[in-house]
Formats: sequence, C-alpha cells, structure tokens
Amino acid sequence: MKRIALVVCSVGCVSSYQSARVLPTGKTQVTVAVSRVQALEDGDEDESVWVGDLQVRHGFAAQFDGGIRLSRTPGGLNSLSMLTIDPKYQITSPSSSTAVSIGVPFGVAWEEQGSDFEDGIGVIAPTLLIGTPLAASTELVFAPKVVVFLPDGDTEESEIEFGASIGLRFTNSARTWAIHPELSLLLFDPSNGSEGGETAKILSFGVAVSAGN
Amino acid sequence: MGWVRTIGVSCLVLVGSATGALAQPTEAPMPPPEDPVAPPPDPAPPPPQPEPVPVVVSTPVAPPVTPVVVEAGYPRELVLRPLILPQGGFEGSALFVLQTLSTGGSDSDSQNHALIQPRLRYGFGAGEVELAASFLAYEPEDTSMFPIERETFQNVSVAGRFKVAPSTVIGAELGVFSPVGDVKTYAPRAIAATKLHLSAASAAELAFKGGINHVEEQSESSIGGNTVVLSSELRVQAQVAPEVAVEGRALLAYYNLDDDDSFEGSPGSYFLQTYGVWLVGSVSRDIDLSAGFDIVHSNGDFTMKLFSVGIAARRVP
Repeated sequence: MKRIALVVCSVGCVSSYQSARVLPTGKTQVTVAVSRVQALEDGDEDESVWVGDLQVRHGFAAQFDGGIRLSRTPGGLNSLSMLTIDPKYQITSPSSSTAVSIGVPFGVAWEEQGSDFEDGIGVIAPTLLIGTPLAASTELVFAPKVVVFLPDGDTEESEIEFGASIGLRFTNSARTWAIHPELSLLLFDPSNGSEGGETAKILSFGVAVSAGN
Repeated sequence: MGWVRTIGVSCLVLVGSATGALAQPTEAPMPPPEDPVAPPPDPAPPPPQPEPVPVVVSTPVAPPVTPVVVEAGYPRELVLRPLILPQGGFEGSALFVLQTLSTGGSDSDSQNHALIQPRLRYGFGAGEVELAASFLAYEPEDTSMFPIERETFQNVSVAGRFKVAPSTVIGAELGVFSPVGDVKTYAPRAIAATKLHLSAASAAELAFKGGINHVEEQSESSIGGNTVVLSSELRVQAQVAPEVAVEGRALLAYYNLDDDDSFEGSPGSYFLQTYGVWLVGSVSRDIDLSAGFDIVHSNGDFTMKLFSVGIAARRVP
C-alpha cells in the first residue's frame, strides 16, 4: 500500500490546482488536470506515471468553500485512485491583496485490479495556501502541507510526510476560468523514520483547466 | 483470449473518443438566427422642414429607432458554440494523431503509431448527422507492444444527434472496428449530452454513452463476445481569448465483459479513464486549428499518450 500512497498522494495530496482565495458564495468551479509524476530515489530517476485529476468546488460562505476531488491514473485493469473532500477557509479578508487559506483535504486512496478493489488507506493533508497577485490576472500560489497516512491493515502507526506545491494561476477578472500550471514535491520516507532510512522525493508537474460561473 | 482483443478495442474506442472531438458540437445560450437580420432600408432624404406654425395640441412623437446590427453566423468562441450545427451547416475536419506506447515508465522503449481521423458533420435543424473514420497512417516494423493486430482501416462510425432542449441532445451511434478485417467489432451506443454555459467565457460539456461492443464470432476459434460499455466524458472549456480556448477533458468508462468460456481469464468488469488538455484556435469564423495531448493509459509499466493536431472547416448559412 505504501507504493500506492506514494504515487497517488504525491499528486492527490501535494498538488493543489486551486486558488488561495475561496470561491464567492454560490459560485461553482470544475477543474480537470493532468500531471506527470516522477519518483526520484537515491538521486536517480525511477519510474514515472501520469495522474488525472477531477475537482468540483463550491463557495458556501464569504470565506469558506469546499470541494470534492478524484485523482486517478489513466487506463484500466490496474488503477490507483484517491478521493478526497477538501474544505478550505480563507484567513485573510476577501479584499486583501494576498490571500492566506487553510485547507484540510481528507479521504481515501485505493488500488484496483480489474474489478477487485484493494484495501484503502485513509489520508489527511492539512494545507496552507498562500496566494499573491503577480498581475491583474495572475496569482502565484504556494501551498506547503503535511500529509498524514492513517494506519491500515499493514501498519499500526500513522505516517507523516511533507510536501509543497507552487503554481501560477492565470484567470480572468471574473474568475470564471483558470489555467493553472503547477510543480509539486513530496518528501517520502519509506522507512517511516527508522535509522538509516533514506527519503524519497516525488516530483510532479501538471496543468489544470478550470471553468465556473 | 477474446478479452484481450476486447480490451484492445476498448482502448481504441477511448482513443477515438479522446481524440475525435476536434469540434464536438456545443450549444449556445442563444442560437444564432437562421436568417441574418435584414439591413435597414436606405434612409429617405429628410423631408423639407415645414414652416413653424402655432400648435394647439401636441402629438406624442415616437423616438427615433436605431437599427441594431446582429452579427450572424457560427460563434467563434468555443464556449458559445452549440452542441449541433445549425440547419444547413456543414463541417469537415481531420485529426492527425501520434500515438506513443512506452513501457517501464520510460520513453526510451517506445513505439509510435500515426493515425488520421477524418470527420464530417451536417446540421439539419432538429439535429445533425456525423460520419467519422480512423486510418492507421504509420506503424513501426515491430508492433509487439500492441496487443492486437492493427488494420489500416481502423474504424468507421455514423451518428445522429437530436436537440431535445436548447443545450441538450440525445442520439445514437454505430461504430465498426476493423470494418474490412477478419474480426469486426460492432459498437452501437446511445448518446446523451448537455452543455452548461457557466459564463460568457467558460462552459462545461457532459456526455454519456451506453451500449455494447460485440466482437464478431469466428467459426474456427470462438473469440466472439459482448462487452457492456458505459462512459461519461467531461470537457471543461475556458475561453482565454476571443479566438483561443483551452479545454480539459476527463473520460471515465465502465466495461463489463461477458462471463462465458470465450472470456476465460478475463478481468470481468473494470473502470477505465483518460485525460487530456486541448487548445482550440479559431483562425477565422469558418476555420479552427487545434492541438491536444491525451494520456490514455499509465500504470508505471505501460503508458499510452496521444499528441494530436487538427483542422476543421465549416460552412454555415
């Protein structure tokens, strides 16, 4: 299960593909993203996979929005998936130029072998999103986060990893669409903190397209 | 190993689905007028001004009418286009697709195939008909990476879509894979699609298809069988400039293979998905250019990617 979590959560948890600003109340936005995920172990390139992302977000209050997100490897028969619910609260006022928000996506990741669904693993990833306008229609979004893998049938303790994403969000003045290229990095400790263990790095790059009302 | 062929064909179905929509019809909130607004008549020469006379009772005078010129025709903006062509509209398009298969997560061990996919659409008012095909234009000498033999004439399909609401269509489609090959696969589908006009610069299209893939049974080796196929595709469209749109695509399909001897060892049912990002540019009101990237399969061992460029030309009365 570790490998699955490593690959899927590297995108599903570490990438953001959203603004640091919450959506205005009543607004809805749909996002499709494609990411390439590269595992770097011992400084060498390891295997890579592609991951697709589907996300729907809705503004529920002036400083609160939420979304549901499915990250899944393309293809069939052997797929890795993660489904999360992603509430987000904006700490700064809506009128401030720099937006700071806290998101707490939580959900489950699982593997499929044909019609067999393997045991899932719970994931929660508290995230700080910081968005700074670089231009009238461009936002720099930086999002450090902590990724917690909850215990499953194979492990008795939670695993805690660290990651961050940085991206540019190009949008229009009404924020009805966005193009969002993003780079993210997850530091993953396969030994779970034991002595002599080496940290693996999971690097991903992707592009998201968003449309909303 | 009938299911291997079925899965291979399923992959082709999705490839076609992922790449075949250079300009899948979209629906505008206000359909363009079928007849252009008639130009205002030539202004008559102003009548000679009468001499001022005393007025006892005033008569209300209607304000002058300013003629409104409505730009007729098919919208250049992708997000505003209707799902089907207007009456008498005709569109021809072609996609050139480079299909890259690689193993081991590395591009060093890869094979490339090239496909050409022509498509014709005609609008008849209440709906439209579509004829599409796919041809293998290039394949490497070593084709061992692909699970089934690939015919030059890959597939042909005919579809009809009918408008049931301003932004909703239903219809049917019949696809035939390897239409001139030894083992044909018939793929009838029922179609339902709708377009959500989210704003003046954004839209989302949602399409559903349901049907079967029927692999023709052969007398020598029983490899025939049916696969139930349900799929949904989401297209998220952002009009980043009046002539340029970016589209994100996600397709999720469910396959349920026959549970009989010919499918021994098959995985039964499974889900399959593809994703893509496309750029659509309106060179003129009648011509589009597009480029896209689709990722069809990726599990670390085997990756299939599509790089596509396309052109579409239309004539809309």
